[in-house]
Amino acid sequence: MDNSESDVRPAGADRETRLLLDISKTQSQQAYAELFELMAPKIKSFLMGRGSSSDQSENITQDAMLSVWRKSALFDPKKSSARTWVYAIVRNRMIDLQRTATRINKGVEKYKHEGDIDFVTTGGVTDASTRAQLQKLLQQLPEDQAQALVMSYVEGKSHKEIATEIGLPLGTVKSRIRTGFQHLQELVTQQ
Amino acid sequence: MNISQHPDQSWFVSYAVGGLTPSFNLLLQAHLLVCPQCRCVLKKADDLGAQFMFGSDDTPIEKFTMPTPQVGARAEQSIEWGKEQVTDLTEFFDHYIGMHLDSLKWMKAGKGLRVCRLTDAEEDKMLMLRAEPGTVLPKHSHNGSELTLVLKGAYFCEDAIFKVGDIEDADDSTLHQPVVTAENECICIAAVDGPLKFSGLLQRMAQPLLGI
Repeated sequence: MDNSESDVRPAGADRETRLLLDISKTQSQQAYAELFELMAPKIKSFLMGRGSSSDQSENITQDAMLSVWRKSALFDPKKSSARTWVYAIVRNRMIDLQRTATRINKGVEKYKHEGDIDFVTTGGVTDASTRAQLQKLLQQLPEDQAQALVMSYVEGKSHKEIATEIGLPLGTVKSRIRTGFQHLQELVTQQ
Repeated sequence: MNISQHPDQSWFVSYAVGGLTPSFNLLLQAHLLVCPQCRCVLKKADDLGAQFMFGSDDTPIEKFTMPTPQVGARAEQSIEWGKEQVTDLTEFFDHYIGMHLDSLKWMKAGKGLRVCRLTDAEEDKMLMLRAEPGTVLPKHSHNGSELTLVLKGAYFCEDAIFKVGDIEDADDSTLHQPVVTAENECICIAAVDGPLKFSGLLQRMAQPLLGI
C-alpha cells in the first residue's frame, strides 16, 4: 500500500486533505481508517450539538463517511479543503434525510439562550470544535450578527425560525446573516 | 445561461447548515446548478460550516465503529460547487416531480394563470405557476418567505426582469405584482413558508380553494 505521504503527518486540515487524496487515488483503507478517526467524532459531536440523539448522529456520520469513500474520486483539492468537502457531504446527507420527512430533532430547549453568544463562548454547546478560532472571530462581530450566525450554524435554524424567536422582521434577520457572513469571511482571510 | 437575479446570500448560509425545508432546498439546488456566482457563495458558507465542525484541533474524545467501505463502490454525484454548469432545468424538475410539466394537474387561478400545488405541508408549500404571455398576476405580499424560480419564459416585477434560472426573493416586506412578458408563456416554481397575502378580495376568497 502506498501510504508514504501520511508518514509526513501534516497537522490538522492538511493531513486530512492528504488522506482524502490517498483514498481518492489508491482506495487505501488504511488512509480511510485514519481519516475516519480524525473526522467522525467531530461530525458526531457537531450533530449532537444540533440536538440529534447520539444514535442518530452516529448513523448520519457513518452514512456521510461512507459517502466520502464512494465520492472520493470527485474530491479536488484545488476547489476545496477536505474539511469543506466533507462538511458539504454531511450537510447533503442532512438535506436528504429532511426530504424523507425525518427532520432532525433540533433540541431547541436544550440550548435555549437569552440573546447572546455566551453559549458558544462558554461551552453551552459541548462541541469543542466551535470554540477555538471561531470564538475569537465571532467576538469581533457585532453581537446581533454573531447571534444570527450562531443560530444558523450551531442550531441549524431557518430565517423564519430565527425571526420568530428573536421577534424581528425576516428582512432584518437575512441582512444580519448576510453581513455577519461577509464580515466573518473578511476576518478569516485576514488571519 | 446568463443568471442576473439571485437570492439573498443569507439563503446559502441557511442552505449550508441544512436549516431549510425541502421546497426551499430544491429551489436553491436548481438555481445552484445554473449559477456559478451562487455556487461560489455556497462554497464560502461551507468553508465557514467546516470551521464550525472541524475548527478545533483538540483530540476527539469519543471513538466509534467505522463501517467497512466497499472496495470499488463509487458514486458519481458531486456536491453543488463541484458540478459543471447545466443548461436545462426542466430535466431537474421532471426528475423530482416524476412527470413532465404538461401532465401535472393544473387549476385555473384567474385570467391567464394556472396553479399546481406540489406539496401539502402548510409551512413548506411548493407551487408551480403557469401564466400565458402578458398575464398580470394578482398583487400580493407574504406571511413569510417566498422564493420563485423561473423555469420557462420571463416576467417583470417592479424594475427587474426575471428569466430562466433567476430567483426572485420576496418576504413579508415585499408587495409585488409580477407581469409576464408578452412573447412567451411563463412557468415558475415557488417555495413559500406561509400563506400569501392578496390585495384583491376575489383572490382572497379563492385562496382556500387553491391552497396557496
